[in-house]
Amino acid sequence: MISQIRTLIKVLQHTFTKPDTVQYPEQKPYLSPRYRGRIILTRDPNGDERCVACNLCSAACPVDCILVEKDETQDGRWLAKTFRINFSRCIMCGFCEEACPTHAIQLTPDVEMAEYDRQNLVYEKENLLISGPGKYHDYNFYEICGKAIEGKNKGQAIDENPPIDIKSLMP
Amino acid sequence: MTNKVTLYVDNIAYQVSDDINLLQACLNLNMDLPYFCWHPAMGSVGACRQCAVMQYQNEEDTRGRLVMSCMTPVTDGMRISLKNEKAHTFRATNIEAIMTNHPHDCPVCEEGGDCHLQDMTLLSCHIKRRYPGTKRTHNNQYLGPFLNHEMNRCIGCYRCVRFYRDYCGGDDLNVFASKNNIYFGRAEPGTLENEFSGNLAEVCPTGVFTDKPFSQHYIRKWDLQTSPSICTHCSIGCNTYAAERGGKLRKINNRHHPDINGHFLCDRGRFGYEHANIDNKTTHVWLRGDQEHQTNILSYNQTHMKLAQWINEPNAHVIGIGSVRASIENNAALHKLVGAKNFYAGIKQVELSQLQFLAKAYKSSQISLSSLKEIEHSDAVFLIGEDVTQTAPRLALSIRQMTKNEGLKKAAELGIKPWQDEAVRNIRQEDKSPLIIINTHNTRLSDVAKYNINLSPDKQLSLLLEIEQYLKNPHNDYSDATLKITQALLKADRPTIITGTYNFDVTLLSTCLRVSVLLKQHKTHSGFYCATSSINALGLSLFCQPEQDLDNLIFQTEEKPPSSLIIMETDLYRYYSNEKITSWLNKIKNIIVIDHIITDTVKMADLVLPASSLFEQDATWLNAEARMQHSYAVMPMEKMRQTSWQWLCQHNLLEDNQAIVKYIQDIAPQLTPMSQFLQNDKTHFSVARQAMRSSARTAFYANIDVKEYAPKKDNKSQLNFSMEGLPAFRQSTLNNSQHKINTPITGVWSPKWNSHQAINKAGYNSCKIDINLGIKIFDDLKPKHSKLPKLQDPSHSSSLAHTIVCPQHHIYTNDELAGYANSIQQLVPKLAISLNQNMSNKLSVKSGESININSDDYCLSLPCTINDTIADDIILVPINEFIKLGSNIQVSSITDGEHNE
Repeated sequence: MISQIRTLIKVLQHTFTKPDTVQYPEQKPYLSPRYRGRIILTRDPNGDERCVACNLCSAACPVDCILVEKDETQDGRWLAKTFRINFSRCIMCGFCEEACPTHAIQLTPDVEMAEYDRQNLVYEKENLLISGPGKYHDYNFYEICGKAIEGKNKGQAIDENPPIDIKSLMP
Repeated sequence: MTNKVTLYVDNIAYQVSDDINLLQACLNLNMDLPYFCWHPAMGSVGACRQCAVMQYQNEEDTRGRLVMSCMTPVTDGMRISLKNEKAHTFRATNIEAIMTNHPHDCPVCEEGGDCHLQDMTLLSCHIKRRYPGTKRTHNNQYLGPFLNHEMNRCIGCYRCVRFYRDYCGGDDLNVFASKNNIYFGRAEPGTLENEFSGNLAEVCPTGVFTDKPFSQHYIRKWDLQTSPSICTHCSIGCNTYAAERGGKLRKINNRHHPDINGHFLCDRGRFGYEHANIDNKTTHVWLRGDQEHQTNILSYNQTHMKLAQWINEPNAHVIGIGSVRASIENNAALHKLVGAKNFYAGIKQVELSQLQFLAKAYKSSQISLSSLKEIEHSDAVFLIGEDVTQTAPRLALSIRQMTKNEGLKKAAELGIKPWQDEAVRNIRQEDKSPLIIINTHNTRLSDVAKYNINLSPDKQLSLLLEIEQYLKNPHNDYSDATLKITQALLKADRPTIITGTYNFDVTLLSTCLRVSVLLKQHKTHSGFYCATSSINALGLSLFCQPEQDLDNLIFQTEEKPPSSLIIMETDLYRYYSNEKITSWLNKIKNIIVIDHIITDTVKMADLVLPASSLFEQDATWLNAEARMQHSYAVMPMEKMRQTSWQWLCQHNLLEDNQAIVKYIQDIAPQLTPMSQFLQNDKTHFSVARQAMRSSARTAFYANIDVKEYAPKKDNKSQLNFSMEGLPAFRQSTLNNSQHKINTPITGVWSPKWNSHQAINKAGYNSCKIDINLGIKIFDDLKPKHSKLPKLQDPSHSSSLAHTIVCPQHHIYTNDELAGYANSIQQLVPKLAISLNQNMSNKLSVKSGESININSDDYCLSLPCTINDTIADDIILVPINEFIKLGSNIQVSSITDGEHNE
C-alpha cells in the first residue's frame, strides 16, 4: 500500500521537472561537436585529399556500407577513385573514423539525413569532401610516410635521413 | 628415407619427420613461429634471426639455449620451447630492430593485408615503436611493367636475390652496399629480364616488390573473390588462384600444386590474365545485318532460332573448328553438334599429327610421363629441340632445379640436409647434374647445361638417330657427341627426356619417343615430357580423326565450301595469311564464331556468340603430361555471355555437364575419370569464394540501385559467389583425409597469418585433396610391352620442317591470350629474323637489313639480327610469322641496289 502511494508521488513529482525531450524539429537538442553523425572527408593542410584509399574504413564498417577504390596519381600519391557510402545502411558507429590512418574520415554532428527516396542516401566522394582539415589542423599523412610524392622526395619526410648513396664505400 | 621422430615442444610430444628443419616442423604442427628468410623451396640461411626458439639438452635442463629453428635439424627426443620468456623476448626485440627503418606506409602499400611482415610483427608482439631516431631511406628503381620497387620497406632478408639469382638463374638483380644500407635492385634501372621476376612479389615478405598491374586495379586481399583456377597460357597447366572483384579480374596468385608449379609461376601466367578485362570483348550476340557495317543484337530466343535455321536447313553441311584453348567440355559439345566427320581441330596439320602421335604413344608404351616435380628430382635431363623457357616457362625453372641435384647428392653423402642452402651451395661449387640441350641456338638454360649443342633440325635428327642406334647396340664407333650424351644419360638413375611440339617436326618427336622407350629399358625410372603448344592441345587431339586439321579443311573445302562453319575460340588469322583466310571465309555462307574476345576471325563472322572467358566458366583441361585438371569460375558471366557448350546445348541435346561427360566417355574413353570433377552436390559442403571480411556489400552497386540484390547463384559447382559456405581456412587447418572433405579450396589463410605465406602453416594438407591434384589419364593404362605407333606418313614433316627456316619463340608472343595484357605487350620484342654470321655472309645481308621469305601462302620481309649461337644453315623466324608460312619456302635478301631496280 505504502509503496503504491510512494510510486504515485514519484510520478507526480516528475510532472514538475524540466523535460529531457525537446520539441524536435522546431527545437533542436544540443549535440556536442564530437557527436557521431554523418561522415565527411577532409583535406590536409595543403588542400590535398587526405583519403589514400587504404580500405581500412571499408573493412572496419560493421554494415559494409563503404566502398573505396584506389587510384594513383603520376607521382605516386594514392587517392580514392570511388568513395561511396550508403547512408541508408550507416549506423553512425564511428568505426571508420577510428580506423582511418590519415584522419580523412571525420564524423560531424549532423544526423538529420531523412530522405523520401532511399537512393538519395548514397553519397559519393564529391558529396563528402570538404575543403578544410576538420578537427586535426596540422596532420599530413604524406609528411610521415616513406612514399615519395610530388614535392616530397625520398628522405624529406619527418624523421628521415637523406637517401643512401649505394655507390659509396663507407659502411 | 624419412623417419618419424619425437619432438617435444613445450613438454608436449609430437611426431615429425626428420628430413625437415625445426622451423618447418613447428609450422607443420600448426604452431605460430615467425620467420622471414626461410622459404620451403629455397631452404634456410639463418639471415633474419626471427625464428629463435629455446632448445634444451634434456629433461632436467632448465636453462636451455637459443637456436635459430630454421638452421636446426630435427633429432629424436629433441626438446624445445616456443613459449619460453627469453625466446619470446629475443623475437620481439629482433623484430623491433628490423622495424626501426620500416616506413609508415601500410595504408599506401599494395602488400597491406597480404603482408608477411605485418603478420610476423603482430605475432612477435611488437605493437609499439620505441625507436625515436631517424629512418634510413633509399631511392627506388624502375623495374619494368610487372613490378613496383619501394626499397624503404626492405627488411634485408635476402629472399629476393636468393630467389632471383640462385633459384631462377637471373643475374640482373643484386644486393649492393653494406650493413644497414643494403640495397636490392639492379645496377641500372630497367626491366627485370628473368621470366620469373613476378614471383618476387610473392617471395618478398613485405612490400618492396609489388605486383604493378594489380596495383593499377587494386583491391585489398580481404575483398577479393577467389577461386581455384588453371593457367591456360601454356601446356604445363600450373595451378593458380584467380581473384576478381566487380566483374574485373584483378590478380593471379600461385596455388601450390606439389607435382606441377610448386610455389612459383612464370610471368606470362601471372600477368597474362588481362584478356578477361579488355574492352575489346564480346558481350552480346551480334548478327551481321543486310547492309554494310550494320550489326543487329539478338536475344537468346532469336539466336537459337537463327542457329537452328542454319544447322537444320536442307542440304546443310556444318563444319566445326575446335580449339586448343577451349576446354574439353566445349570441344566435346561442338564435336557432338557437327559430328565426328565434320569436327576439325583449329591447328595445323603438323601439329595435329604430332599430338595424335603423342597420345597414341602415351597409350601404347611404357614411357612414364614425368611431372615437373619428378623432373626436378631427376638427375639428368636431355632437352631436345624446344626452347622451353619461351614455350613452357615453368618447365625451364624445374629443369634448372634439376641441375642442382648433383650438389644435393654430394651434400647428402656428407650428412648435410638439402634445406641447408648455404652449405649445399658450398659443397656444390660448380658441379651440376647433366643437362644436355640440343637446339638451334643458345637458350636461357644454356648457362646450366653440361652440353649445349646447336644444330639445324636435320642434324638434330641424325644425332638423335645415332643415339637411338647406340642404345640398341652400344659400341664405340659413334660420334663424340653421341657417346657423351648417352654416357651421361646411362650414368644417371632417373634421366628425363624433354621435348616439345613447337619445333613442328613429327620425325624428331617420334625419334625422341623411341629413344625414351629404349632408355626406359635401360633405366626403369627414366621419364619423358613433351610440352605441347597450348593448354588443351592434347585434349583436343583425342577428339579428332587424323587429317582433321585446318590445312586439310581449307584444302578440301576450297571447291565445295560448307554451308555453315562454326569456329570455336580459335583465331584462324594466327595460322594463315590474311588473304588466304579472308578469301576462304568469304566462300562460306554462314560463319558462326564463338569467342570471348573480338579477334580478327570474330570480325569476319555472320553470327557472333559471346563465350565466357576462362574466369567465368568451370572447365576441364588436359595438360602436356596428360593430367586432367579442373578450373572453377571466379565470377558470374557478364551480360549475354555463356560458356560455349551452353550456346550449343539446345542443338546437340547435351543439356548439362553430366550429359557432356557421358558423351566424352563415349568418344574418348581415356577421359572417363572426368566424372570425378562433377560434384555439384551442394548439400555436403558449399564453399565461399569471398573472404570472411569481404566488405562494401551494401555499397558496391548502390550507385546503380540502393536496393541490395541477392548474390548470383552458381549452379554448376560447390562454390558460391558470396561469403556463404565453408571458408578456405577451415579446410586447410582440418585434416582433410580424416574428415573426407573433398571440396575445392578458394584461398590460403590461417589464423593470424593473412599473407600468402599461410600456405607454409599446415596449408599443404589442403593441397593433398585428390581433386586438386588432377588425374593423370594414362597412368592406369600402362601396357606390358611398349609398342610405339608407326608414323603413318613420314612425308608429313616436310610441310613445315626440313627447310632451313626454324621458329623462334618468345615467352610473350607465343601465347595468343597473354598478348592482350598491356604489361606483356610492352615486353614483346620487335619482329626480326635471326641468323649467324656465316649465314648472313651467305645471304649477303648485314645486321638490320631485311630478309625476304616467300612461300606458297605467305610472304614476309623482316630486318635481321646476327646471333652467333645459332647453328649453321638455318634462319630463325618469329613463331607467329613462321606458322603462317606454307610450303616452297624461299629465302632471299634485298640489298639496296635491288630495291632501286
